[in-house]
Amino acid sequence: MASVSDADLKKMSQEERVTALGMRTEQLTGKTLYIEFDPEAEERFTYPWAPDVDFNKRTEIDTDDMTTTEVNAKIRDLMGEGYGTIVLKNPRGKHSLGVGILSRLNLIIEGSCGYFGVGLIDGPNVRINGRVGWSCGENMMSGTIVIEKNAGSTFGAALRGGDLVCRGSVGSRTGIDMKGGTILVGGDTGALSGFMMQRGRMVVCGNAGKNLGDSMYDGTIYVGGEIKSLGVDAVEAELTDLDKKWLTRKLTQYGLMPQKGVDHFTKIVAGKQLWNYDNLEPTEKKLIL
Amino acid sequence: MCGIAGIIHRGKSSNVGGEMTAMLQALKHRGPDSTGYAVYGEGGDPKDYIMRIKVAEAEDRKTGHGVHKLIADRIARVDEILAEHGAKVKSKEAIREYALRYVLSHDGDTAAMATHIEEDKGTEILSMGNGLELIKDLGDASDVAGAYGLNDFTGTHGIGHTRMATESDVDIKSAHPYWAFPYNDISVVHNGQITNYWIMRREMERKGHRFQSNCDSELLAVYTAHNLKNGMSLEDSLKKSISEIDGVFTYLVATKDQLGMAKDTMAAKPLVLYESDDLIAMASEEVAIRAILPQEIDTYDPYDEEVRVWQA
Amino acid sequence: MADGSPTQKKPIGRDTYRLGDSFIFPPRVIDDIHVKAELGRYRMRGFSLFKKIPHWDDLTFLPGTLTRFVIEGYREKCETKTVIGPRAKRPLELDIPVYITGMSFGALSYEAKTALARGATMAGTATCSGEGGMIPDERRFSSKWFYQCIQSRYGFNPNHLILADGCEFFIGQGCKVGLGGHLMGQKVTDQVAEMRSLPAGIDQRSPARHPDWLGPDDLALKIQEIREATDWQIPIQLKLGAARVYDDVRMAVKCDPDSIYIDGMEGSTGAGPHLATEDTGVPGIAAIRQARKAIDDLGKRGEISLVYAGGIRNGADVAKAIALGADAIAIGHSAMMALNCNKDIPEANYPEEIGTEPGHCYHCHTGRCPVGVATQDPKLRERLDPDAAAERVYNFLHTLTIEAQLFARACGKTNLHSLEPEDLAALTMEASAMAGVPLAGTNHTVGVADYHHL
Repeated sequence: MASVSDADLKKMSQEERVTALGMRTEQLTGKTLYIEFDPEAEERFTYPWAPDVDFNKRTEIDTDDMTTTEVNAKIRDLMGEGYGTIVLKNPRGKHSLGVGILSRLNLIIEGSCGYFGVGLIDGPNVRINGRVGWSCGENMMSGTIVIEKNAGSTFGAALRGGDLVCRGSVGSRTGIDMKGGTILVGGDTGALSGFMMQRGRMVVCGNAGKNLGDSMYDGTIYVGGEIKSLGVDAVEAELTDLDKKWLTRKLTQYGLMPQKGVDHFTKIVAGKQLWNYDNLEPTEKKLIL
Repeated sequence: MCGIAGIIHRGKSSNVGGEMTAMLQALKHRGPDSTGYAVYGEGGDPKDYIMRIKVAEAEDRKTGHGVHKLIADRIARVDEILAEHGAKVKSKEAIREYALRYVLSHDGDTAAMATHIEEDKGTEILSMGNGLELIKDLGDASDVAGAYGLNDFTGTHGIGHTRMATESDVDIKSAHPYWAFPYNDISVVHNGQITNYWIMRREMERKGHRFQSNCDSELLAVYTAHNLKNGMSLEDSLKKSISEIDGVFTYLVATKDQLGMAKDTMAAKPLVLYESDDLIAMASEEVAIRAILPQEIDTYDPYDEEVRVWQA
Repeated sequence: MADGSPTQKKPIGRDTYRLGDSFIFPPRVIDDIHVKAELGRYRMRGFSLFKKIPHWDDLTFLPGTLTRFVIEGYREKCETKTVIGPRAKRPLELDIPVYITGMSFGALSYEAKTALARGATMAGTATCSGEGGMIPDERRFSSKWFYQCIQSRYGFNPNHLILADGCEFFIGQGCKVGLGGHLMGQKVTDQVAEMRSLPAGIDQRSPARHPDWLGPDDLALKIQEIREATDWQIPIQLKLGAARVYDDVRMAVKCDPDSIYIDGMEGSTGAGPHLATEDTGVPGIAAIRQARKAIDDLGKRGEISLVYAGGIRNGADVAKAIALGADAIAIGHSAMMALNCNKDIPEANYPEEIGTEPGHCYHCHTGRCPVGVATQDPKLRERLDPDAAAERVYNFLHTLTIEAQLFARACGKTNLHSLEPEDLAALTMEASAMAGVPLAGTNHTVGVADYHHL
């Protein structure tokens, strides 16, 4: 390592720097590989229960007089019995409904949810026939969530995979710290959407608020309407045919295709200037004042 | 760090007391320390005022039996001052030993009278106005509403608050709503924190305004009162606050016939809005609106820097 | 001569041309300005606090002599079992009151992470994932394991959350309160980047706020969400940097976690702006007392545990922190020193490789750690033998415990957790005021009338 000097590194491009620092040839050291695992210790590393459910087995829960904990426990019990389609009636804005489901399931929520609706899930298909509060679909790994009405702020925060769809408008900070997956918004989105976005795609059919894509590392944002302002290090890019094809497919899939088609969408990507802030020219450092 | 809620009926009165209680009870988890209401009744003769005062604090009541005499002395002093200013006490009701509700008839400078009453350090006027009834105490919504007989209150609009203390104490003077002393019928509830509080507070103090607590939300009440007194409209005052006040906040202001909201530029504090022709309801969480409107409704989040004012 | 004219004969230690050293601008400050003028930004570094503050050394124990029955030092039982989050369905039970705090894979090498996990498991205590997600082998080697839910949510995975014995919400860190984490590009290798869903080689500056909750009112709901996702089994811990401690902890208690972790300003970092590490936070001796008071004032003693970390170097520090009110202690930097941080090992050549002497190294952020701890470079990583390192970590944790027991026994306690502030005296006015214990040899506690009932 000592062979690469700071001065040399500064002259290199991003790609060259990564290679020169040995990051492309990742390997474990010899000593580590000789460690033998204690067979009993494997118990600590058992992945959670994944029930085998039948989508045709359907049941309803009236959640009116139940607490969130009771509802979630009930969902787990029903999944254990093999129910693959569960309908929640009268959620009345309860928080944390259906969180932490790590298995396939059809979950239908007939009404509105509060904060953290169906967050931390991996696999289920969720339909919410109502509104959701803040941080819906937070940290989702895979699956789909479709919301028929509006959604609150920090929609799909730290999303890692799957499709998160809201037919109405969403609040501020949509897709903050997003790490993958797709967010589709039929209406408008508020300020700071795509803030520190890392990967994935976000589509907003309506307008976007100020500081769109602020400090985004990577990923793509498509906006159909007006953009109030772009954030630091977010830049407009050319909408390619591939983008249009993908947009058409995704928007058609969820019935969100605007009448005007997809040609008028604006594509926003990372300017990548902040990737290596330390190597910026003096004048460029004022970027994040 | 709190839960806030507001409701306004257009052109008719309703049981706002009961509605606010249901909404605030649903927001209990956002603020377990204290609960407060500012509800607005019809308002009768413009010379009739409802005044609510408290004459002891949570910490006073821990001091022992001497506090009962102290409370009695302070109440006697209030009565003396009212007489001095020519106010006629139509009714006087002690809801709790330390919390009283007066109905006064007064034809004169209410601001001077209010200032005089507050000269006694332990006495604080919680509210004064034609229609405004401001109630706040430690405990959750059902406790407070029960103790103060609020569940049957009829009026046009109201705002409410459940508080989780941040940097100030758990006591009544730091509970919301704040009345915009000494201007009739203006009250404020706030969720968030103000980070240029001391700069703004010293500025307001230099302009002659008084502060009763160290709670940053009180600044918004004083600030609004200052602007309205200088002829600004409620909407303009709300707009101006977004550029002048630093920090994150969502706050509601109620006047005799208006209800306004403002959200700061970071949009970090939640508010959910429901609007229909005859009813507007708003709260930190949907669960509060659902407590009074169980049927399927459409709600949405206001965006950053959004300011709205509704007429009763 | 008298007028200052040059002379060959100069008295030793006296330079008549020099009026003195500037205390405002000593040479290191002048160098610092020169470097920043070139650099155009704040200076990054690793390590912990450089400046002198009132800390553990300013307190002393008052063991039993005639007034107290002392417990036989090396034989009689002195309980060390520690429970974090007693209210959870599955509380975290540790054999010793010290555990290894969260340090990310990325900042630390694979070998360092697994060595810490194995050492902690041998000692019967816990480790924490830190930022950047779970490395399966760390979980495999840890008998008790915290999963950290940090602002950036790098690599956060609900499938891994289920495997955890505790979930820690990272809200702030003592060494740079109010700031997010840093991982400089040199350490963001393909593997680290992939775990964090980032492009390789970028300078990673983590967010300072959580993405999905923006205030303590929302935090209460977030805690509920994690509890729902983990079936209320595991303790939820909030990690706070020590700043407005009383108010912060009071709010944290109202969000109803199972445990609160306070990180004093002595805490360390793998990378942070030098000034942020020097000039944020309050010292541990002040923070613990305030945090304890906040928890007790709200009647949650015995329900919500208090964990302290920051600047813990030996068993005396552990015992003092427990005496001031902590239920458990977390260590980071001293555990890394047990791994070899700043040790002059034969394979390393400090001056040539990083330009400092051993004992003066603070270059964790460069990713060129000469002892293979804070690096991702395969060649450097080979310098750390995980087997030997794990044993050193175990030895250090064990030593911390027996040293702490030594003070507890000397003060007449059969349980380490029976230590109380009354067992301490302060050696300076500052320490007395901050820790709320009397100045040694007096009944005077600076600024406090009755230190028994703060």
